[in-house]
Amino acid sequence: MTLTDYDLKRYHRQILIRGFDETGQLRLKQATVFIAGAGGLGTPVATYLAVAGIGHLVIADMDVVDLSNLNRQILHWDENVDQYKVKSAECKLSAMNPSIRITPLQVKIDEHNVYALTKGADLIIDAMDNYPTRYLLNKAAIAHNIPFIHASVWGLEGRITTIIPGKTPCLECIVPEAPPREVFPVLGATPGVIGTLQVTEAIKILTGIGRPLINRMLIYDGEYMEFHEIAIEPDPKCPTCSQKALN
Amino acid sequence: MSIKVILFANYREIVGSKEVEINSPLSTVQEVVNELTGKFPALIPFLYHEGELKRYVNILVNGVTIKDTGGLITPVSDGNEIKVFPPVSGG
Repeated sequence: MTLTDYDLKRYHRQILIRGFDETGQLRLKQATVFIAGAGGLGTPVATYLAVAGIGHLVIADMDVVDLSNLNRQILHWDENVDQYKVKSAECKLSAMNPSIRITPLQVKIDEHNVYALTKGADLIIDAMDNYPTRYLLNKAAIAHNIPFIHASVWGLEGRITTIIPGKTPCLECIVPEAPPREVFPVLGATPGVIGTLQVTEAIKILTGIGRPLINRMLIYDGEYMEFHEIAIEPDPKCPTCSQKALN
Repeated sequence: MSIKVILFANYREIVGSKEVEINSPLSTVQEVVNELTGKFPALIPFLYHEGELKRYVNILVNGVTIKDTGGLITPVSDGNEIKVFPPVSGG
């Protein structure tokens, strides 16, 4: 696989980034990214990964678009209400960047299919709205030994960390039990902020530039426009990623 | 003695503000949390399960997680800043 003249022109401004170069762009073109969810986080994530030239985006979501989604799920419009989110997203993304491959999967991620769905991906992006599915993706990332970029949002707040199996705590080390499910408040810009941070992390990992958000969790407080960091460590007793669990 | 507690997400909603200033003479994080839940009892089911602090609650004293410093018996002193983070689930 090589970069075409179209690629060199389309991605010129990011190829100029220090350390990125044509090699970085080629890595993006060769990459497959699994996006779990086509909602508040998933739509800005998919948008910016698509325009950055990720060669293959796999987007999984079981739901149809609801009118109440439209304050934040920017790939879905009024005309898409009641359509499957992955089809709505595919339509916009393929128009945004016809040169990439998009695989929409209208599927509920469960313990039976999560490993097959994510097999072959270079990384997984957590754009889910619940911890039980996040824990499944976390296990799949460990099984495939691929990075897992976790994020969550609430109101004007967000959380993000990059999980690299064997190098960082896994999601179950950080959040050992799931908080209760809820209809959460959220401003559309919040997953916009956090989703674009996830894309920044994904592209850094795929190209090798910068320093990823590992062993620390970034907390975004949009209400007071503050960022905080929490140092995070592997749990030696983690039922999912500890040596005992893996042996 | 003054300790500033900074709350996030639904903890902030329950208390109605980002910060709570505690001016009682207290020596541990547990005492600070007790003082906080005494003022705002509605926090209790969000922090505790069957009398134990929920495992997903993150508490930092001056930026250091109490998981590394003895948990709720971590000492506090005048001027400390305590942050209390719940995980959030939205996506």
